[in-house]
Formats: sequence, structure tokens, C-alpha cells
Amino acid sequence: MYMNKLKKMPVRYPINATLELTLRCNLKCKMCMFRHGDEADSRLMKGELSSAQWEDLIKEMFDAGVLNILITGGEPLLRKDFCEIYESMYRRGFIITVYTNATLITEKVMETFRRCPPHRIGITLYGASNETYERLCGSRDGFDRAIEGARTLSTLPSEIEFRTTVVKDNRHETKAVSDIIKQEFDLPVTHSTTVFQGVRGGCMPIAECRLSPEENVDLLVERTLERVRELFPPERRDQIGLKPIDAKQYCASEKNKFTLLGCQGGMNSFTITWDGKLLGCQMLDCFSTDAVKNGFLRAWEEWPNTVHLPEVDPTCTACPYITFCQVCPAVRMAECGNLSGRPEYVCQITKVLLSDRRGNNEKDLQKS
Amino acid sequence: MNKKYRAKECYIHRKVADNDVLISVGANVANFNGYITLNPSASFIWDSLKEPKTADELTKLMTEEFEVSEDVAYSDVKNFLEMLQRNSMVNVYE
Ligand code: SF4
Repeated sequence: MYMNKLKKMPVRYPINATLELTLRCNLKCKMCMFRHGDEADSRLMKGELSSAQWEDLIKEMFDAGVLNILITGGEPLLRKDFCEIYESMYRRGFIITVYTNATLITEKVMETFRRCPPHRIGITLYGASNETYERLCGSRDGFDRAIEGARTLSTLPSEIEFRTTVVKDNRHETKAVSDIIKQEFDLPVTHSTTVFQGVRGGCMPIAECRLSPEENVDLLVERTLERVRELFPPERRDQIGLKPIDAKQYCASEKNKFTLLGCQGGMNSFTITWDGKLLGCQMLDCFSTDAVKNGFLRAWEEWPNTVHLPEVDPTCTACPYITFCQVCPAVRMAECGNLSGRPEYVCQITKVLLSDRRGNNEKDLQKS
Repeated sequence: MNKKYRAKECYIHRKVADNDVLISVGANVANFNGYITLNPSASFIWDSLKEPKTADELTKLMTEEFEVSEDVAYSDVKNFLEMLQRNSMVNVYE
């Protein structure tokens, strides 16, 4: 495929940071992309940046104009010095989101959060019972602790967002999770769309526990219809002319835009890993610079030079549905182990979504 | 007329990509969860409000800092102070 070479890199602003404070986690969720085996814990811990290194990086990010910070992991609250790192970051003035499994909410954490409430807290739930947490996350009282943690966090002025990842082991509790959260917190639950295979050394048995392409599409449709019903009751739907679209026409109307990875990764967002690498995307570590050795700004400026994307599978290049497909370099790497392969699982999901079940989906929408 | 205004401490003023922004922090995130962009004169007024000031004092500072007439400066000050009061961003002392 012919591509125009750019004479100059378009301006990139490092606005959105994902800070992966640790890769370690107290849970062992079967579908976690990043989870290493327990035997890797001491090695991972040794390689983690110190709080002083995080504080230096955070100062550099502040000077460079970073606005939004997502603190994530692993489980970030597992770090003993979490509160110190967090508070020094907060006092500079960022819009801060914390992702947590809510099972490690100590009084010390709450005392820090009360003084410096995060703008948003994303709580991930993995089921609606201790049995499911035990089977899926290896934690016998995980559900009780997560709900208790969520209750405690909900006393903060922060905006709370509940998220869940649906796999075979917890599919039967999808509705129960939503119902509990609605009843207790009057909030919706966001569902992950597709679960990809492990990346960056993650070694959990994801392929075995994730939904089949058909189950995945059924869940996607179920959730989307629920959302449509909430946002657009039938009488409004006619007014705004909501109707199924023609996928091919939609794809053809998409304009070219400049990106490095096919998204905003590396253009206005980036990840700093537990050991100080700067990545354009948390899932993809084959393009990286060293933010500790070279300093944040140089690492950010030099990162595009590390990106070398090969030609992709010709089936994808010619595919009329590519705009609807979740495929991207990170997904190819997770699913195929390289940057050019056609990820069979994702490919099947796209096809199920756009072909055989499409007729049913349209009928479902009209019925609802 | 002699009311004094002072910026509340629940905002952090900083630069993001050459823009001045106020980041809402602390218990204030329950009321306003985000940030506000300021133009140069609003940014100057906000910084001046670290210490309590009247509208007249702010107008004088504005005419010294920017090349504007007193009328234009006063109307900028008045509009910005109104916005700050509407959004509970300042303490007001009679
Ligand atoms: S993975 Fe399949 S659906 Fe996606 S772009 Fe490639 S060929 Fe098309």
C-alpha cells in the first residue's frame, strides 16, 4: 500500500498519562492480560521505580503539561508507598483517576483520599459472590472485601465508576453484578468488550476462560441494547431517527487521520510502566523509550522513532469491515505474538457482529 | 462597592500546553469534577485574588498589566467576578 511520508511529525501533546505503579496484584484473575506468576513477584518488586523516581517523573510530566493521570497496575494499592506517591502527585494539580479492585482499602488509604480525593475511582468487580471470586480470582472472600471497599470509597466526593470483565466463569452473574451496583450505589456497570490474550509476560489462561466469539457478541448486543433503551426510549428513537446503519458505507466514509498506532496512543497519551519505560500503549512494549534514564521529555519526544510497523496480513488490508474491527497493533501482538498477523478470535467477533447475527440484532432493537 | 474577593483554595492554577487552567481539588470535586481554562486576563485576575481585593483594586492592576482602558478593564473584572461568585469560586467579604 502506498503511503505518503510526512516531512514533519504533527505536534504531539502528552496530555493523558497512565501510570502503572506495579504489575503485582493481590488477586489472580484468570483473564488478566498482565498478571505474571507469583514466582515473578520478588523480581517485579525489585524492578519497580522507587517513590523518589516516581516523584521526579511526575514533576517532569507536570512541567511538560500532562493534565490527566490514570493510576493503575496490577493493583496500585499494593504498593506500601502508594499514599506518598499519590499525594505528591495530587498536590501539583492533575485530574486523577485511580483504578482498583477495592479489596485493599485501608484506613491509611482513606485518610489520604479524604484529604486528596481522586476525581474518579474506577472499581473493577469480577462477580457477585465469593464463590466466583474464588474460582476466577483465587480469593475466598474477594467479593465481600470488594463490596466493603466500594462502600468505603463511595463516601468520598469522587466520581465512582464500576467496571467488570465478563468471562465464562462469571457470565452467569453479569446481571447480578449490575443489580447489586444499581441497588447499593444507583450506578451503572461498564462491561469490558473483548478480553485479549496476555501481553508483556502476562501468563494467565485467558484463551480458556474468555467467551466464545458468539457469546461475546451476544453480550455486546445485550449491553448495547440496554444502553439504547436507557438513553433513547422508543418515542425518542423515532424523533432522532435511530436506525441500524450499513457497515460498508460507514467504513467508506471514515476519513484518514494521522496516528502512530491507529489511536491516540503516543500522540496525546502514553503509559509509564512499573519499571520506568515510556510506551504509547500499555499493552504494547515493543516500542519503548526509557523515561528514567533519559528523562520524561526526551523519552516522549524520541518515542515515535521507535515505532516500526510492518505490513499487515493482506486479508485485513482488503477487509471492508476494518473500521468496525477491534484490530490494532496491540491486539495483533496479544493475539498472534507479532504485529502483522490476523487475530482469528477478533476477526470472528467482527464477522459474527456484522453478518449472521445482524438480522437478529436489528429485530432485537425494533422489539425493545 | 467595597466588597473584597478572595480566590478559594480548592483550585490549583497551572499551565497545560500553553493554556492556563484551574484544576478542582479536595472536597470541591463533589461540586465540580474537572478543570476550567482561563484566558490571560482571567488568569491574571485569579492570581491577584490570592489576597483579598476589591473590584476597583483589580481594575487598577489590570490597567497596569495590560494595555486597556479603565472601562474595558472594569467590565472584564466585573464579568469574571460574577462568574466566580456564581460558581462559588471566591469568598466575598463585605
Ligand atoms: S481481523 Fe478480520 S475483521 Fe478485522 S480487519 Fe482483519 S480481516 Fe477484517
